[in-house]
Parts: sequence; structure tokens; C-alpha cells
Amino acid sequence: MKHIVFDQKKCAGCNLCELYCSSKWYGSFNPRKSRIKIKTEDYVDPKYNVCLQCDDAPCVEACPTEALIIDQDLERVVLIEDKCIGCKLCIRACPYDGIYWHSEYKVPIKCNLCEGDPECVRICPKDALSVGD
Amino acid sequence: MVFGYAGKILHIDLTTGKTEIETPNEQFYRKWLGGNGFVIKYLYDKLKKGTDPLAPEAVSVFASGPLSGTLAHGAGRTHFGAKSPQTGLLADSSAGGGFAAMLKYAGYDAVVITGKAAAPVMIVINNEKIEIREAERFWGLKTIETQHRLKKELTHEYKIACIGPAGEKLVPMTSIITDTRIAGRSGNGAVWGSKNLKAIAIYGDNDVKVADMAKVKELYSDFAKKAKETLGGLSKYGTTGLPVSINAFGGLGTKNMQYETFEHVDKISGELLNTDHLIRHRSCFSCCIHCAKDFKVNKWDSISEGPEYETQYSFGSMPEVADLDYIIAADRLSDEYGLDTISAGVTASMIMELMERGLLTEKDTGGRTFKFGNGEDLLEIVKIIGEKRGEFGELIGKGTKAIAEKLGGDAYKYAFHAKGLEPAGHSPRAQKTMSVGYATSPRGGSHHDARPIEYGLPIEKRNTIEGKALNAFNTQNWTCLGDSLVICHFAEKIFGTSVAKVHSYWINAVTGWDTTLDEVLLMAERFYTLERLFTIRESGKARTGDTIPWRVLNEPIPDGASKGMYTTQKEFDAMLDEYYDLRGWDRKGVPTKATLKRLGLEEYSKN
Repeated sequence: MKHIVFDQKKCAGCNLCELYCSSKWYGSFNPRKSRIKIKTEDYVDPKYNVCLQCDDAPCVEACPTEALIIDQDLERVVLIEDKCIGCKLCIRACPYDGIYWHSEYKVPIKCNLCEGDPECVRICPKDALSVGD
Repeated sequence: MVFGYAGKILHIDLTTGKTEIETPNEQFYRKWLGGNGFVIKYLYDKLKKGTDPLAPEAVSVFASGPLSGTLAHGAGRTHFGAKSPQTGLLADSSAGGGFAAMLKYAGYDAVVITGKAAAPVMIVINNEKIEIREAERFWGLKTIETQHRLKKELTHEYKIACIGPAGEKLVPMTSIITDTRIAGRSGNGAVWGSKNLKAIAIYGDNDVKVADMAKVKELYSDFAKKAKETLGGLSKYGTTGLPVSINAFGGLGTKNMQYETFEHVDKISGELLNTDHLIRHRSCFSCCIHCAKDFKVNKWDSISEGPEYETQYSFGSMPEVADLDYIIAADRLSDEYGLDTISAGVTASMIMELMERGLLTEKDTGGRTFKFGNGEDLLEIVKIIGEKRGEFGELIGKGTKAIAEKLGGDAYKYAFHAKGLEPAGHSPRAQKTMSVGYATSPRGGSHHDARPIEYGLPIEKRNTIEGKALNAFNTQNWTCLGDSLVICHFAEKIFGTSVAKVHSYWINAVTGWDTTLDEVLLMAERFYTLERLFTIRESGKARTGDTIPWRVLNEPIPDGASKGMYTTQKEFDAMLDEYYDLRGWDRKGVPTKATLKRLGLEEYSKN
């Protein structure tokens, strides 16, 4: 399914995507609340982590309450917050380290592609982020 | 809670290991703003007059500002400050990266450090948890390895600032480094070293809340749009494109300021760096410009983030090293030892000239000759300073002023410094703004107080003192405010080089205040004048301390497009008079009582 795609050769590591993401979904600037993570290190290209909206999503398998489902129409893995019990099994199940936890909330932090128009893609000053397969 | 701020200042006494949290009120924040404002406020108040910069009682401060951690331009920058072991005056220096943003996410606006640990330590801050941990195993390590090892221990999400071996050995011209970004100038590194403080690691997951999110985004979008339209060169080359243009302008310090054009400038150019050495573009936290670059050495296996323009000048044209491999290598080596590349390079250039003139001999250097144009000699000098090798190493790590004082005779003529700090690569002969600007900077030869804004002007406009004191006054106010917000000075390429309404818009959007241009201008003047009081208190000098290098007053530029330019004593004196009048300081350079009152500094008028 479509997900956020990252070009590490273009990314310069400004973390503006994290700031926009956290401000859009949680109303504040806080990279630890961002649904996308850019890891910058000295002298190597940046790396990223985000939900890759897997076709055979291990998080969906792991979820005991069917709070995570694959929505075929929307073409993404959807988190139904009302059903989530905050067990964090999805975080453990994700092989891509794409789901996060912040102590302030009772449900995980996971990319939903901004309902179709991802903020991070829109504001990336280097065009390093896009939506693709 | 005040929007934009964390609301807490952290005080750490390394002697007792005790920490204390101060929670200032809104009035405090609106008066002292952040960054530079906090640094000078705490330094002036906490450091007793005449304290040895390397004594346990000395104070080291670093601070974020109201814009840190937001979308503002370069809002990860950190402002560091102490009493300088190199100049005995103010050591304030800011670094890019994201350290101060993380400080705020951890819940603190600033950290004030006093005392001295009994053995090497590091401070580890994880939100409200503050630990002073032993750091014996990191002592002696270079800066990049220190950070890598620490991140391995603590997780990569920590932001780290640390010192290198030179700071540990109390070399005066030392920096603090965070990631690969450096607070280079005036010796903050040695102050940490004197406290047995190797590193500070911070992790935080708190919010930075702003008063008007929509306005903040509007301000950022406006900036980003203009940056995209106008700053493409900065994105592509960083500042490395400057040597060629500044050479054509006739203000590229060469051969220790004997000349101001460099015949081999094409061999140290940004174009060449871009085609032959560039690995990747790098960005500070919250910056859409990404002016930083990783460059590789081609002749052997090494890379460095940088050099930037100042280092192309200090390690390139000044010592006449026309070989980017050596400049990149010396840059990396300086970062690893934790040195200031400007002071190190200008000092190396002075050593080369002194040897050429026979004022310094192999007897003084431990049997080694250092020659202009020799990359190996440059690297060797960096090593001697970084390792504080022998008596010679101890001397030259203090910089050009100390060398001139030690040698006596004519050596002072070749010491390129203001107040003991080596000027950056913006010629005070070719731009009189920088003559009065360097002289009146609280830290000395600083290009981040007054700004070099005469590039592009024809020589007739430059070869007059008209408006130059005002240039220095205006640009110093802007940088002082920028360092308090804390944002990157490259914002000036869009917002201009004076304090402007847009700065109050940013402050208001983040904090919810109703500041005006007048109020923010007053803040900048307040901080700058308190820095002046600090300078006077610690040096006992006002006007008599506002000096520029001998060459600037005595040797006209012999070559290039600025040929014939220098600053006469008469011009210099007239600019100082005008400058003091603008600041509301008397003609001896001392702030008047009326000025202190106007700036809300009455409490400091008795000192």
C-alpha cells in the first residue's frame, strides 16, 4: 500500500517534518510526538522511521482488540483509537520501528498519511519525502 | 506558564553535585528574553568581579530562547557563555545543531553551571531526571568519538555537547561541540575543562507550546518561501562561495593580513569544494537552508563537516595554504581537539610571518620551522595547540596577543587581534564598519556582533566613516537579539541586518506578548550594554580597551580592489565617538546613568 517514501540522499536532517507532524496532530512542537522520525548522525546519511502501511501488517496481526485494521478503500493501516487498549503489542510487532509511544497518551503514535495529504511531504524543504509504494 | 518557554532554569554546582531549579516569572522572561540575554544576566550576577575564568567559582551558562524548538529559522541553536580564558572578557559563542531545542524539550530554558567536580564527569539530563555521572573513561577522547560512544550508551536520541582534549588541557582557544556544530569562539571549552566537565547529554519529550500556532506557521512559510527564492547559493555552497567574491572585493585576509587578495583563491574555492570534495548537505535543526556540508579529503581518508568561509580564510588564505585537502583535514582536526579554527588559523599565520621575519626562531618552536603555504606546517601547529605540546604549545594556544607580549619588540605589529581575540575573515580595513565593530565587540574580533555589510559597495562608499558607527550599532543590536531568540544570523539575508518588526512578530506569535519594535530594540540594547558593563568590570578598561590591530591603523591594503584602504587613528577615534553617542555611553566608553535607566539597568548603576 502507499506510504511515506524517503530519499536519504536528499534529506539534510532538518527535522522540520517532525515539527510539522507533532504540531498538526498534537498541537505542539515535540519531535517525540511525531509520527515520522528522522535519525541524524555525524558523517552518515540520515535514516527515517515511519509506518510503512504494510499489506500484511504484523501490527494488525498482533493487535488483540482489532483496533488496527487494514482499510482496503483508504489503502492504509488505520488505528481506531476507541478500540485501542494501549497494550503496545503493535509497537513490539512492527519490524520497521514505525509506531511510537508517548507517556501523555493512551494510544500509540502512528502515521495515517494525514488522511491522504501528508504534512511532512508538503513541507519538506528538500523534497526528500513523497508518497509511494 | 509563559508560552514558548519551558519555565525552568537549571542550576548545577559541580563541587557539591547539587542541582536547583529556578522558576522565573513572566517579567523576568520579558526582560531577559533568552540566549544571549540570559547568558549575560547570569554571568554578570553570578560571577564575582575578577574571578579567574578557570577557577571553580567561575560560571558557565548555556541557554535556549523563546523561539528554540519551534519552526523559527535555526531554532536548535545554543548560546554558550562564560568569562573567557583567552581574553578575560566575555566569552559568548553560539553553535548550530539542535542542542538547545532538546534542552527545552527536556523542560529547561537555560543551565547555569558553577563549581568543579573532583574527577571528570558528565551531566545527563533526561527530562526531570538530572544526573552527574563519572566520565573518566571519556577523558582524553576526541569530540566525535566521545559523542558516538555516549550515544551508544544512552541511545541516539540524546543530544550531546562536549569538549575535546584541548578543552581538558585548558587551552584558551577552545570550543564546545555539539554534533559537528561548534561554539568556537573565545574559549568556552576550557571553562568546561576547568570544571572537569567532559560532556552534557540531554533527552526530552516535553512540548514546546506556542501562543498562536497559525501565526507561527505563517511566519515560517513566509521565511521558507523567501529562502527558496533567494538563498539558493547558501543551500548549494553554504558560505564556501565567499572566498572568491571577497577576494574580488579586495578583503580576503591573506598571508597574515599582509595582503587582502590571494592569488590561489581558486584552489580554496567553494566551486572546487562542491565539485571535488562534497559528500552531502547538512542542516541544523529546524532549518530549511542546509548550509552545512560534509567534505572529504581526497589525498587520504578523512572527512569533515566544513570548512566554512571563516576556515577557508583562517586555514587557507591567511597561512596561504592553497590545498583544500589540508584545509579540510585541519578543520576536522580542530573539531576533534575542540579548537576555534579562526583563532588557530590566524595564530598559525602569525607564527609563519614571525619566522619569516626572524622574530621567532627554531629555538622558540622546539626546532621546527613553519612556512607560509605549507599544509603540513599548518596541521602541525593545530596539533601543537590541540595537544598543548611543550612551552611553545602552551604559549600559542593563548593566541596572537599572548605571543606578541611574550616576544616583545615588533611582534605586536603582526598580531591580528581585537581585545585578544583574532578577527574573522571580514576585513576591518576594507570595511570600516568592521573597524569600529571589532573594537566595540565585547568579545573582541567577532563577526557575530557587528556584521560585515559593506560587501558590494564601491570603494568611495567604503572609504569614508560616514554611517559606519551606525552600521556597527544596528548590526550589533540585531545579532544580540538573534542570539537571544535564539535563531541563525543567516535570517538576516531575508529580514535584514537590523532589529526589525518581524522579530517582534515572531516573539509575539510564540509568547502571546504584545512587544513592539521599540521594546525588542530596547532588549538588544539592554543586553549589549550589560555586556559592556561586564567588559569594564573585568578589564578595568572602557575606551582604552576598544582597539583594533596595528596593521589596520598603520598599513594600507597594498593590493586588489580595496587597495589603499585602512583606518586612520583620526577616523577610528571619530567613529568611536559617534558609536558611544549612539549607545548612550560617554566619550570614555562608559554607559551613562541615564542610559542604564532607559534600559532598565538601574540596579547595575552602582557597580
